Amino acid sequence: MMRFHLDPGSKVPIYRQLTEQIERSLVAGEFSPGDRLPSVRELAMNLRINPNTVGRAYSELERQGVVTRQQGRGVFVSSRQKDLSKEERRAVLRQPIEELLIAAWKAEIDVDEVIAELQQRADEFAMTESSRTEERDDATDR
Amino acid sequence: MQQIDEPAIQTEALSHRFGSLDVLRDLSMEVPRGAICGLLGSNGCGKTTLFRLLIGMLYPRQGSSRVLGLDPLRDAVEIRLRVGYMPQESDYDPAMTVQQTIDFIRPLYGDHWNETEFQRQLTRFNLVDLADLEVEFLSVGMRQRLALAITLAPEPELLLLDEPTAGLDAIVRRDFAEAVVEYMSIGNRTVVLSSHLLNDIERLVDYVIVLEEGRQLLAAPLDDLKEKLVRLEVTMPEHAEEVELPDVLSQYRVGNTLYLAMWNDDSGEVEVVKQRLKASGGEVVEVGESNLDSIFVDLMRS
Repeated sequence: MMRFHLDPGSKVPIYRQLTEQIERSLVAGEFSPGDRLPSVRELAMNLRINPNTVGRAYSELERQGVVTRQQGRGVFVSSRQKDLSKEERRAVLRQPIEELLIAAWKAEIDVDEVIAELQQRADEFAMTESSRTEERDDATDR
Repeated sequence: MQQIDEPAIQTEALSHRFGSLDVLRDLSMEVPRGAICGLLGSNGCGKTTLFRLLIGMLYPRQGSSRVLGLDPLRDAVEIRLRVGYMPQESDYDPAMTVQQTIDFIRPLYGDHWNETEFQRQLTRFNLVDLADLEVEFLSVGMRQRLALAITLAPEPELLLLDEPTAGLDAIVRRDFAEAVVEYMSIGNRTVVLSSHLLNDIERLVDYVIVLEEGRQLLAAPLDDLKEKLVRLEVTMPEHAEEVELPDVLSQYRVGNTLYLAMWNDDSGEVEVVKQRLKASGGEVVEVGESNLDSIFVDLMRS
């Protein structure tokens, strides 16, 4: 079961906290394409939150092509967007990259530093992934 | 028949008074279908009266309401079957045992009563062993759990909970939250919940209605309140002149500090307000936190 840390009092609505954390765990490789995610009911009961909120988070992820909902079967991690060309996939990054560069400019951080920071974050994600894999291996050893 | 897009609850210019006290004044409001709606307001703002009008326990002085497309006065019996109302304090006979209470209420619902569901709730709330105990000897928490199990047994489409967990410990409050989530995980159901424990209901509600002196002060999806409501804390210089501001959602002043809440729509009004305050020497800070509690306090102090 995925772990979530929700802060209901935050300015960030709960559905957005959910989508962000699910996306993080996908980037960290905690789930692979085709894996089933907890159902709306399961997740709502587990976190004691409004099922509508979970539904909204999943709809959002579905709209972005991150998950696929199959009536009666559940919610599944989509395979990466193979049907899009590399160019189209790159285009998805354009806006966040521009936003990142503007934020960096405002904070007076130069591009090299931004790239180093990106690399470091990517390494951290990879590390979380490998430590999780190790945990899993340990579990199967026993 | 009720239209699918018709709100679960709709009131129009609903008014009620007790003696010379106006409790509801021209209240027009809507609870969308499928929502968990938090009904907020300070004590005496008319929440309980509204609940009682909605299930036809009171006759309104003026105005009308529709509940699940029904008229609470004309269709009182059907409303009783389809709407689960749990008052703040249950009115069970204290001298009757738990079992007698159940046996008294169950037949009122006929085929609507789901005994399997009911037994499951009794077990979950540890009420089974208390069947022979008189209601008066139940703790307040146990009495509320019993009331909730009874309210849920007829599988209502709409659940009205009036301060269900006031004064109860964290475990009972958690039981209630779980029961509400479970109730809602079956489609086409709606909950209206009044509570002063805003931290408790913040993770449950997705729609908020604030009443003030019998009127609707605000109605909005909770996510909108979080994303689109801007709250400003402005420190004004000593002896600053009153700054003329457009119509904001709420504003109040403590000493030299001005607290404002307003919707951040695309009109650019937020910027106008900020500029005007700065021009008068105000130091403007946008409040970062946005929990229901602080939003509520802002609205109520206004």
